[in-house]
Amino acid sequence: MRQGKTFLSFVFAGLIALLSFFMAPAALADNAAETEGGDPEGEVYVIGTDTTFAPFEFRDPAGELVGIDIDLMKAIAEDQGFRVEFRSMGFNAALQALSANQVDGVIAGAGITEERQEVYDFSDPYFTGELTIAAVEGSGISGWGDLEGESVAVKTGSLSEEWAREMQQDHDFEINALDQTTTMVESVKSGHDKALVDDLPIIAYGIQQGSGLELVSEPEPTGDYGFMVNKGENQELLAMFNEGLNNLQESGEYQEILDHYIGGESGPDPSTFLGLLATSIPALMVGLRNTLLITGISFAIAMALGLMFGFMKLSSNIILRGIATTFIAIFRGTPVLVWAFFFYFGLPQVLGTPISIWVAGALTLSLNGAAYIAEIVRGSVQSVDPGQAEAARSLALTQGQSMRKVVLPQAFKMMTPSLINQLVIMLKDSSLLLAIGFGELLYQAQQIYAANFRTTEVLLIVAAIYFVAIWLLTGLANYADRRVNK
Amino acid sequence: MPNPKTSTIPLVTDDETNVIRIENLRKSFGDHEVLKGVNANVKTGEVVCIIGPSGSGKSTLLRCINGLETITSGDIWLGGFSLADNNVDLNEVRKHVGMVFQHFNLFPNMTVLENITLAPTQVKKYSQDRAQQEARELLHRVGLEDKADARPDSLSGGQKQRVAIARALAMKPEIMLFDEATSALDPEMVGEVLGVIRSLAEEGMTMVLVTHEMGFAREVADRVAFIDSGVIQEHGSPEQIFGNPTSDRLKDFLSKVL
Ligand SMILES: Nc1ncnc2c1ncn2[C@@H]1O[C@H](COP(=O)(O)OP(=O)(O)OP(=O)(O)O)[C@@H](O)[C@H]1O
Ligand SMILES: [Mg+2]
Repeated sequence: MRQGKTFLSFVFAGLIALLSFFMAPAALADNAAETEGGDPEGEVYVIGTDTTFAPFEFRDPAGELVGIDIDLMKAIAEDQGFRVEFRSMGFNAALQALSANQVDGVIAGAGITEERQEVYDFSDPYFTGELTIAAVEGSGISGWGDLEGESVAVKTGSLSEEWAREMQQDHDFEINALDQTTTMVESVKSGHDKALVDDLPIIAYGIQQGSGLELVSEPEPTGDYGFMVNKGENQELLAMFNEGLNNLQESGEYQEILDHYIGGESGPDPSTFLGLLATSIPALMVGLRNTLLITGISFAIAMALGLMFGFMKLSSNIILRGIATTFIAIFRGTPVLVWAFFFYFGLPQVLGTPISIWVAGALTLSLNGAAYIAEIVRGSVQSVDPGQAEAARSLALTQGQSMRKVVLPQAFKMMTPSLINQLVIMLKDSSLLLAIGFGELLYQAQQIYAANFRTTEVLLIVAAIYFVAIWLLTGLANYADRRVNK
Repeated sequence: MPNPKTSTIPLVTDDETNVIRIENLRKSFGDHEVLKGVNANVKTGEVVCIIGPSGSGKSTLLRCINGLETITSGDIWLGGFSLADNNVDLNEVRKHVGMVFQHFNLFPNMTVLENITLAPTQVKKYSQDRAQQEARELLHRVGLEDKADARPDSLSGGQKQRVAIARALAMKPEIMLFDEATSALDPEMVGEVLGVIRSLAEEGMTMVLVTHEMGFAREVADRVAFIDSGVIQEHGSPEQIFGNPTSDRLKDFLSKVL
């Protein structure tokens, strides 16, 4: 019987198809994690790092995590006989993850500061940092004095911000604190900021890659970079790092690693747009797969929860209604990003156990989606003509039969366009999960332009991929809708 | 008296002639009292037409009779069932009472046949075969046997209302209630629906009709009740009500509608 075929069965059939399509075993592995290093039997340590801190950590065109920090860490692991699994998650996110014991250590070009030493234990210094000012080639700027009245990009919470704040005492300029080097470079190139302050090796690497900037000041020695662990934790890892570092410095392998990244001369990425497309597509497809997978999983959960809360909202029981109203108010009234941080960084500290990034991501998207779907469900059921239920009741159908056979099929038909809309919103919202280092599409794009500085082109490619994916998804959903809700 | 919770036997036992007994029925919506003490009896096989001005409570009275509205005070007896009794299972009562609405209220998510077989299969647990066979007989009776697989959307108003009547008849009710069954129809379609109602009357179906069709009321009704301000102001044979009205309100009402 046709009315027995409810909308739900179609949604779940679709999602299961979607899931099984992408359910290659590799799909579930966090793509930001790879186990590397020496003894295959050795203990595995999870190391947090930045996403886009070339040349210390970034992804090469093949999507491999590389850089001074990465190579150094691997060489030390080799030397000391342990294994490492990297989580590239952004600098601040990595520090939060360390506090939450989501990772065992962090190597992210982190300067050894007193403030940080209060919370973390540092290794011996493995690199001496220098800061420099950079501006667009030929800008005529040659130091702080030329920046009066201008805006200067610095990296949030880093030594570059500290130095700029110090200089602000003598010079009148504004500070624009940004999260990532690529963002700072784009901000200068697009004219939002006149100059940027960042670590010398990073800017030097960018210039080598064709970022279009030039160094405009004498380097300012800043202090030393160190590997860190949570205060009092993982002391054996810290000891192995120090010993391994010492061995590498003596053997010369340490210098080889440095030369590989800041000694060579490679010049700007010479590839054409098509070449760029070809090299970036594999990594972007991994991102797309993760985007679709997390969206599919989250939407299935959101549908189940949304139906539950939608019906609770319609219930005559004041407690059920109250619970549903509260749930909807909380998740509609707060930004998605807040929950992403909460589930990935906050909750593990409360529970005392790490939470997988897939679980945190799915919780974030599905709870937010469920709040909207609950309202869609409530609205659609209420907008079915009350005469329909009356006719059913007058035929002696019970309340439940009248709901199942008469009201719900009509409500589902009405809510389908809104649900498709919600699915599209969820797919786009999934890009917010890059903030916690989830390897979705936009995250992969950041990895690529962090290494080659071709930000605009990579973003255009990503926008096109999103557009096509959403276009196909909407087409598919509308087709299914027409087939089922005739 | 039959046990109302389990009974599926006819509403009326041999010693009862009044299948519907309405005793001092009052119905309020909040502070607004719509029915202010209605008393009436309907005999088995009788056709009663209810007339009265808009907002006088005609629909409310009809909806009280099949339990779509709860009773504020007083009582309605359908055979041995008292609707004021909270222990009475309304679904049991509704198996005996069919209702036809002004706006048809067909289920748009089902075909014509599915509209008709829904209640017999769900409520009476008939097999699909049996329910469909009976539904086709009913469609034949209302002249729509070729519309079994049509969607309600594709039917004219008159056809929709005939399907709605067939849908109500599928439960084999002993009482049929009609709430302005023809007033949403284009004039040329009124006749086909009235024809079906007339044939039901000839077969001896007990019916209560709220109607604005005074000519039809005069022709088909055994009795006509005039309701105004929440009470039955006057009732009697059609000849008496239309030919010899006594109250000023009825005279006034008839002068406007005739
Ligand atoms: N569910 C309800 N809630 C509140 N007031 C109602 C409700 N249903 C009906 N009423 C009121 O009760 C009064 C009688 O309504 P009812 O529909 O019974 O009148 P009627 O005689 O059928 O009128 P009409 O000829 O226009 O159909 C009206 O004033 C109406 O506003
Ligand atoms: Mg009415």
